[in-house]
Amino acid sequence: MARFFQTELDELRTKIVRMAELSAAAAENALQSLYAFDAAAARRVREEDDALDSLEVEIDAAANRYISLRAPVAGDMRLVTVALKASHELERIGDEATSIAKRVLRMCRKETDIDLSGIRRIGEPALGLIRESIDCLVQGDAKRAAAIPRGDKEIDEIHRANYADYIARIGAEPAKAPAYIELIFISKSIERIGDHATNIAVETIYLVDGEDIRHTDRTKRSMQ
Amino acid sequence: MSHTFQQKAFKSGDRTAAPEPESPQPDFIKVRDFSFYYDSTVQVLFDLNLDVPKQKVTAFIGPSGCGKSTLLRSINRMNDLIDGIRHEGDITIDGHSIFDPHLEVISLRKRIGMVFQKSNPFPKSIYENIVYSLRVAGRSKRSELDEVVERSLRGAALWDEVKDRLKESAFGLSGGQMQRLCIARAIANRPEILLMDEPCSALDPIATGKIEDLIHELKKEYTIVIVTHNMQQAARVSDRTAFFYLGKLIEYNETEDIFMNPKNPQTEAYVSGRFG
Repeated sequence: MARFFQTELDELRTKIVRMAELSAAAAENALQSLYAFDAAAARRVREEDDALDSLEVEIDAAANRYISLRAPVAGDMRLVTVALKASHELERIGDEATSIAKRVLRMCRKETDIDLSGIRRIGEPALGLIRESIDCLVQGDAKRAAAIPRGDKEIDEIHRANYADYIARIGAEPAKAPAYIELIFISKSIERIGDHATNIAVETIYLVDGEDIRHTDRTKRSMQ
Repeated sequence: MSHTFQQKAFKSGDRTAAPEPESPQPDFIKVRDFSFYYDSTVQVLFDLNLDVPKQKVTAFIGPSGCGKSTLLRSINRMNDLIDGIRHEGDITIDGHSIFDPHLEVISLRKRIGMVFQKSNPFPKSIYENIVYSLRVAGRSKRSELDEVVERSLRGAALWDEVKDRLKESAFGLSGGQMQRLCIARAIANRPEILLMDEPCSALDPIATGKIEDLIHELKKEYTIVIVTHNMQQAARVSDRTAFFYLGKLIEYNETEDIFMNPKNPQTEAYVSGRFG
């Protein structure tokens, strides 16, 4: 029996989906602004982060209201709590995209003649992981979501390789040290985006299966 | 239902629009400095002041004996039937005192439908339950009565379930259906106000859900005041909530504020289930 307040859950879902679209676009646009050293595009990424912040606040308010007034249980309860957590993860993806954009702006002013292959190596799988985790959340696909931690582990390894590579390059090309330091931080931001994608996947599993796999053997297994 | 985010939404362009802010409704029922006594000396309501907005649902909550039902029954002067009662202060509906000595109580009650805790259909057919008050008022034109029956039963979300057995006894209905029949009877005369005194306390969760959904629909036409012991029900169905304790109005505010951020510690303790 659909209750008269069912539309409130639909609105909550819609806001999460909207936020997911925006955060994925923010990460993608931030990386594109780096690849093209496009300052205008980087500025847009920063400006558009406000929309993500607003949506996070709206989702918090809607979820808190639903909990207080509708007393959700079972699947409805999981949906509301996952909305609260996923919105936080999506907002953090936006923050990492903004952080990348700020560094792109600094690099645009100082140094654009630099090898970005390491960032491309980590960027492409990270963007793929975000899209995959968001798709799993939206589709309610816990099975596919279970594979995401493994992808995140690969991203972590690429970041570690990037870090070692940039440290070595700083020694070899000290004049470009500031730019390599920016790239170390950008690589770290991308690695964090992978972590947020993983957290969204873990929430998706909870949403669909009702199983909390955080800090459990299942998480470890899914990373192998 | 599906517990995923896969709603209409990810196919873009089909997003739910943000709800537009509702324009405030004028206050319809005004309670002013209202005190009420049983037996002349036993005071049960203390100097209440409260405005009930038009076409909204206002919930009265509070522990047993807090006076919420007494106030509800004051609005249609049902307490007049009790010997020895007296009141101070005033209650107005649309600017007119319900205690005006020139006002006929019958005409007041025509403007106010009432639904009780226990459904109380008359020992008559479904049809006759609805048209009873019209017949008493001397209206007997068949087409008019038929129209009232259908409108009232549709308004109470019962028409589809009973349209083929209108001549059968009302006692053959389920508990939830009987309560909706009583709501249909209450709205047959097109009142402006519906008073509901714990209308779901005798019903199972499914029937309760139907009545709550109905209340949500009915507020488009009626000003509704509901007394309930079920705080989740108050949270679900009402727009404004008044919390009473020992005959005093402790807090009255938007329902969202009462249940999310009450100002008074007593209200917080009550809605949190820590007393009462």
